[in-house]
Amino acid sequence: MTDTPPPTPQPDQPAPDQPAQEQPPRRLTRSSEDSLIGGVAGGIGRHLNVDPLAIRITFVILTFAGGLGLLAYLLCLIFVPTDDPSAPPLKWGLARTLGAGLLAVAALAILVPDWFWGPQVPLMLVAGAVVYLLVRVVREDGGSHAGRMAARIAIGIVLVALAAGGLVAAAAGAALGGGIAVAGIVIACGVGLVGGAFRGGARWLIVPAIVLALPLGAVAATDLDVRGTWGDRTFQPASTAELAGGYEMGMGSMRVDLRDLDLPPGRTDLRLDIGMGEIKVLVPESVCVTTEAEVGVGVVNTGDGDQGGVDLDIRDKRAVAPGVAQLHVIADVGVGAVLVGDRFASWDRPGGWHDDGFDALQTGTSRAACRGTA
Amino acid sequence: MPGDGMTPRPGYDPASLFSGVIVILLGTLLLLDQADVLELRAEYLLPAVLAAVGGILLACGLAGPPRGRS
Amino acid sequence: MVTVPDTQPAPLRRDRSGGVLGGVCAGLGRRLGVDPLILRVGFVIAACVGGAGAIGYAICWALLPAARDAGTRGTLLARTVGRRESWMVASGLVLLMLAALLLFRAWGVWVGDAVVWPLVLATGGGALIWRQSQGPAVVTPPPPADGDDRHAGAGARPRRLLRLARPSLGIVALGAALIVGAALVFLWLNGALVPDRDVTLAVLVVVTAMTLILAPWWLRLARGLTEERAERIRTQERAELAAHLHDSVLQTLALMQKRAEDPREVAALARRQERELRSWLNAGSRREPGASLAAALEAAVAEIEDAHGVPVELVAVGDRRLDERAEALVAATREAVLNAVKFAPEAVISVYAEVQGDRAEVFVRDRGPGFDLAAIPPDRRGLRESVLGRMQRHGGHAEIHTRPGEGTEVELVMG
Repeated sequence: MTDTPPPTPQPDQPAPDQPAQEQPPRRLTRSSEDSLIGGVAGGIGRHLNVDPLAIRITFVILTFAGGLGLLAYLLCLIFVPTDDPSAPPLKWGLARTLGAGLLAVAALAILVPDWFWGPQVPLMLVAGAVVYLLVRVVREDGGSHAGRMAARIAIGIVLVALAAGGLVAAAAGAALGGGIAVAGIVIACGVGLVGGAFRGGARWLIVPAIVLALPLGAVAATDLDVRGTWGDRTFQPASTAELAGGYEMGMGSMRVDLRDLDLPPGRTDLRLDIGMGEIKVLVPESVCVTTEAEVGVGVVNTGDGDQGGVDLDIRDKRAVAPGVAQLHVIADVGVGAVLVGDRFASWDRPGGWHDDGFDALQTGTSRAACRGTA
Repeated sequence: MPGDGMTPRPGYDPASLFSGVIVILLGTLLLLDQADVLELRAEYLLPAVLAAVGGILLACGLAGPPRGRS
Repeated sequence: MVTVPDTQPAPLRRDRSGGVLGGVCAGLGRRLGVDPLILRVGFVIAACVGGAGAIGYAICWALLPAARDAGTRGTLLARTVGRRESWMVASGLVLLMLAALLLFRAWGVWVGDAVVWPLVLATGGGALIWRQSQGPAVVTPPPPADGDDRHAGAGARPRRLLRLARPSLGIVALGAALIVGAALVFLWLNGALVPDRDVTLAVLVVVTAMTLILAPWWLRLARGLTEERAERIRTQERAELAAHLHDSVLQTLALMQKRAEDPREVAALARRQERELRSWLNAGSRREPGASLAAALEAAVAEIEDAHGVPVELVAVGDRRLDERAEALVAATREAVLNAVKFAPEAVISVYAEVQGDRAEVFVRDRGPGFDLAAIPPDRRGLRESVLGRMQRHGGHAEIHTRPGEGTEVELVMG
């Protein structure tokens, strides 16, 4: 059961009538009586005169060995006709060809280890082929009830995975500035739906429309903008001049270490911007810090505990005595968190925070610092 | 098929039509937001999306299975 | 009850017989093919949020005409919409309601998170539990074989296992979980989950939640008791009927057999029994002659029949209270009938009484020899006095229509 070239199926030719001496060639067919999912194992067992259970076990084992079993099973599902006389003959329509093509590409991708598009694409292709096949199996009324149930569940899982992939792709696309394009595609799907309504219905367009619209909406709601640097960055300004311009990132984790900073009296603004991720600001103990944080979806903690939610706009007002050195943090996060404090839990990374401490932040000193009585 | 009770009688598939309209509306809303003409906040966007999905489900459910398929 | 397969989608009407208030949700449910419970939940929640639900319901009540055939119950109908599609319609509606809620929230028409969300969860869970507690009585009858194989054939097989309408432990558990969740959310949003807060609020909420969860079964129990009593009463009535039949009809039949040689007597017995049984069936219980006009007429006619052995047919349409004027009418009728008996004993005498509101009309007809009104024999002068005079004295009037050879009709009108 390897990638032999698929046998050309002869759609509507039953076993030809031959003279009595020769046996009619026995064709491999999928069994419609003994079928769990598609009758493949039953048919093969019948053809080889082997207990179908053994065939099934073989398939399962081979599936664990690199997915070959699954692949072989799917191949049989496509190419081996069922023996149900009432089923329509094997037709090579567009759908079947497409399914076979997808499967072939997927097989290649799995067997060729360094497919340069990365592991996701062949996986998605396989998923697509599996979905197609399962839909076909479910549509035919052969097969047992349990098999159809299992097929439906599998379809559901695969669709969810596909949708998740689509969602991520759309979100990334949108957040990267292609939001207008994604919205355009959504509108195009809608137009296609309307047009297709007059030509027998094109309901399948609903799926891509929703799959694209949802992440686009999420991105729009949170004003997510991940253009910019991606990754983890730590900024350690040594002087006020350095932090004058603020820090901006696309996605990842931003740490601003201000322990070495000497703040002048009066208010110093620090602007921090990240599309998706986390902003942590570590301030010296006896420095007055006030915060203005806008978060699309996430958490803000400026020393008074976690405040989470959607569309957060937290202004941490503290009474600041005149003349006190005040650091005013202005943070903007699409999806993520803003944490401002003088202590953080230790982070096990080179060059990261080494403070062993609590996650909770000490606010007493900071407020006192603001009042000028620290 | 007569006897269905809710067969789409007219010459179009109502579910596709209404879903298409809903999708177009939603897409336009999002487009306007992305083009910075409107500004959608999360508290308006979530009901919009939920209403869109709900409307599509309703339309598909009311219209029944697509015509011409067995 | 429904045997005609639908070829058209059901019109959008209110279903007054299947509904709780005005049948709005029942009617909408029939049209959409979903359980009206879902719509009720939606209206309730919307009403609590900003009153919009009440307004919407009122609008629907005003706009939707009532259904003409009020015979079917407004429960989940699987015949107009398939099971899978009704699932979609239901979830679509739920999502739309949720969207509307959130929109109201964004607009500020909002009682408060701490109130609405627990309410939504509790209503949803309560609705699920209520639906489940109603038990198999709510399961829809299988759709009639209307030639649609999709339903009749495939639907008869295991697909039906997943029907929502069947009482299932899973859905009950879900409903209970929703209610518990509602309680927790309520407590959490009100800060009562923090340990150093007042415990009584938590206890109160827990008790309310348990009540909500258990309420349907409690009500079912109560309803079961009422039904039991109703059943008992039914059995009692049946016994009464049997006794009555035994006493009256069987006796009469036995009597008739004994007097079989005397046809007149047999006829009289049969007639009497027929009259009595008819009045018993019509009334449901023994009516006293003093209760109403129709009863008094019946009593008068029966008396005359018994006294003279002459059959008199009585048809009474409508009824009214027996007051002085009605009594006068009865007396006048009695006289007219007596007269007919005296002067047309071989003919069929029929009395037709029609009461509409306050106006009562009685016609006494006989197909006897009739007489010439102009040449009234001295006997009939009494008729004129006893009938016409009496009617006039009490504010009615009477007319006699007769001609020789064409019978007599006395028309009495009161009211």
